[in-house]
Amino acid sequence: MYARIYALLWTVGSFAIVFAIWQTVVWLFAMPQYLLPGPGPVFVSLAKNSAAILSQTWWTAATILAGFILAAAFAIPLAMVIVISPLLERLVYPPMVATQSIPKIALAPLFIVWFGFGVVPKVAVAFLIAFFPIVIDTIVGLRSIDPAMLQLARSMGAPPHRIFRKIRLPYALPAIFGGLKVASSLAVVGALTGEFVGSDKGLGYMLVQASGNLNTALLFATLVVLSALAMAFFYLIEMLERIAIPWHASQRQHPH
Amino acid sequence: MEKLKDFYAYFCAVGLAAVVALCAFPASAADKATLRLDWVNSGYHAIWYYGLDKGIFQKAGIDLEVLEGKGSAVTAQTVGNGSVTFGTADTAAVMGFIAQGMPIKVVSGYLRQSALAIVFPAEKGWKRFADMGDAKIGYSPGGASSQILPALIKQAGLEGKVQLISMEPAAKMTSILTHRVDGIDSFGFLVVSILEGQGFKAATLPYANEGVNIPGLSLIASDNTIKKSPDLVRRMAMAMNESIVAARHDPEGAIDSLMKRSPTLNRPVVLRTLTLSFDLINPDWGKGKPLGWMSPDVMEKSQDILMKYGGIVKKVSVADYFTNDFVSKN
Amino acid sequence: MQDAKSVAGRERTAFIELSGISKTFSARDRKSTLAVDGVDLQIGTSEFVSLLGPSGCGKSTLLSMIAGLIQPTAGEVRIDGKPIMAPYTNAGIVFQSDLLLDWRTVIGNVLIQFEMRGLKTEPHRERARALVRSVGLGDFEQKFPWELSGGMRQRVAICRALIHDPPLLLMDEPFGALDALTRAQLQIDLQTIWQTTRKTVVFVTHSIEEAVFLSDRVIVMTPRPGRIRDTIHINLPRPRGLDVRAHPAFTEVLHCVNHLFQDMGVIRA
Repeated sequence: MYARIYALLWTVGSFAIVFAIWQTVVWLFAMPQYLLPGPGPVFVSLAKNSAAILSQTWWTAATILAGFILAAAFAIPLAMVIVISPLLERLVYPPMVATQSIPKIALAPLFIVWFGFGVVPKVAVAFLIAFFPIVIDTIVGLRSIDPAMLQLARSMGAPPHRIFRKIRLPYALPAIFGGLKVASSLAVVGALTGEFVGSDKGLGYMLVQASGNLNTALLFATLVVLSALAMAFFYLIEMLERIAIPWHASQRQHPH
Repeated sequence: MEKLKDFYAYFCAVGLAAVVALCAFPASAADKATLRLDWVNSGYHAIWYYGLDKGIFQKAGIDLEVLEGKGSAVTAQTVGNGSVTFGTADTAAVMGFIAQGMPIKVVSGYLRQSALAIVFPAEKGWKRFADMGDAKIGYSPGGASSQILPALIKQAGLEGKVQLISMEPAAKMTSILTHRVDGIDSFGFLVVSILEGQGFKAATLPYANEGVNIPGLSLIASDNTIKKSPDLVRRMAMAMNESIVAARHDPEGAIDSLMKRSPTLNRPVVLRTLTLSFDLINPDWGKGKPLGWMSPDVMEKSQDILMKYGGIVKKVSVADYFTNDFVSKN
Repeated sequence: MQDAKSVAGRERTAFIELSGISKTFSARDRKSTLAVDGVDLQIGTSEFVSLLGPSGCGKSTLLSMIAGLIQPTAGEVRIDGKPIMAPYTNAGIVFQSDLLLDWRTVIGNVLIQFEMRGLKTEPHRERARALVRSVGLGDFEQKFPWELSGGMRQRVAICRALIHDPPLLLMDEPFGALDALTRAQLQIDLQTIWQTTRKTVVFVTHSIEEAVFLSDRVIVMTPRPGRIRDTIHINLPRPRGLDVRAHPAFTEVLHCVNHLFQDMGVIRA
């Protein structure tokens, strides 16, 4: 109980130090408001515009979630297919890697024209960016199994599908979650990118509006909310990880 | 158990009544239409929200939904592919697309004076382009003016002297505020008010004074919409112009309507933007003609300029760019 | 059905029969490797046989072929008269690494032997618990592998290999990763298990002492390509305790095997 409070105090403390440094820099260099507002004006802006920012936050959050879930839903089965079938691997892997190098920022404006200003292009960008790490990490996880384990399973008379379901898949879960955690922050970037390029909703739109009107305090306030959102999402995945793989070394308390 | 049955029956009755009531409402007689703006909400967009709040569009039988945009190019493209009914976009950009075959047209002028200008600190006192000397000017490639500007620099005899520095649109204002550049190329009315909001007195060198006066924002619609629903297009153009007149008489009220939709905007700044934009509505060549009327002569000259400076490659008939059929009642 | 051999003299029929076993591994870009060369071997029911040899002598490969996990390039493996063309599922295998599943309890790990075959585990739960108790892990049934020491984990692996009561136990350096004390304890425990259950055991090791302590017969193999150099019968009485190492016969066998290894160049004095 006290350990938790203690940890919380440390977190609060570290943020307080960051704010103190920030304020000092602003004061020291007499920064104009439009260049670097101090923490005070930022939080005033946050409080004043909280209703507007909050309503946009739901849109961005929904976009991130949709893009992420779609990415996971496609990436994990695709990775399984690649691992199981060498033929499909040779067919699918090279084009997948090639398309990864295309910056999605370049594609986003095209999506806007093809799919309109609605939610589809933003989810599409979030999906495309989040997709790759999940595939790669799932493949690594599925392939990292000790070959002796497979031998043992075969000697127990297990058919391949049972070996996959009961042994290979659980073995791969830690790696899959690694990919999911990386993908969670990328989904945020993707949703934001989509919103920058064409949106009338969401935190990305708020950022464009704030910067276009030189309202840097609002810009920073939006960024604060954005990072809180990204953090919350990341920790959500971590929580899911804790439930799904409590047995993994990364989840246990370290012995002294 | 009895109570549950009662509740269930009651629920069904209420539900049925609601359905009947909804069906009883006559289908709205108004036409549904969407309008995609050229950018996110700014001072000059107040006319639309004012028109909505004052029932101008409703009276014209239009159920209008106003949507913020992301640049004239995207707005023009989405009008062209039919995903929105109307759009406001920069006329030069629209002409470029039409020359490439996009099936859209200007149905009413709006800011018929060119808004393009070099914005600079007032104390520099520049009066003409030639006064710039070897200044550093910030501009955005791909923007409405990015092809015309180098040509105008050349025309003023400043080639090799003025330095053009490319930057993101958002960076232009901070660059001039921090004196990293001596001036920026942008929409005068928009930028001057924002800079004033930061306590920065700015002045402008309008392109119009150098002989480039291509009309600015216009109302556009797809060829399809014009063909299928000419009456809607007329009502829309008339309602837009009525909203403009109403907003000129009550700029504070117009800004109230705007602030309702975008409460985070800075009120004095957007009010100033709106009033400055009114200066661009009526050019000299529009005297005696209805609001929104586009001059074939001006459009011809504009095409020549754009062709000269690379905005348009293939010449088309001037009538392809616009129509004046909708700016008056007949 | 009685075959000629058993009718003739009521000999023990060879439970495991290896005839002319060779194995060549071919790699796409490298030259092929002859791992095992012409091995003939017969192992009787309830015999405890060790395959002893230096690293790379093919003893693990041989074990895998008996298990049916690899197919020989030449020759035939028969278990109980039947040729082995696919993994032989009526054996219990213990590898050097315990390969326990971290997400299952001790009991869960033992019962996986049935789950892998698609069988229900409930009917076997009591037996699993008894087995786990018999190796001294009664208090750890519901613990997870990471909560156990190396020696305890290997015991669970052995339980997993025994739960389905297979006639054959195949062990590939099962105690190789353990410390000397745990190793000694497990050797004793294994002996006890074998004496109670009388399973046929094929045990791979590179420890001469371990082989002599546990086995009826020690098969000494040459370095690669692996051939049988010699077979040594261990006549020490059972049960063999820790003090058996002081027994003169033990030392004699030890010297004999050491000599063989020196001869082969495996140990250079």
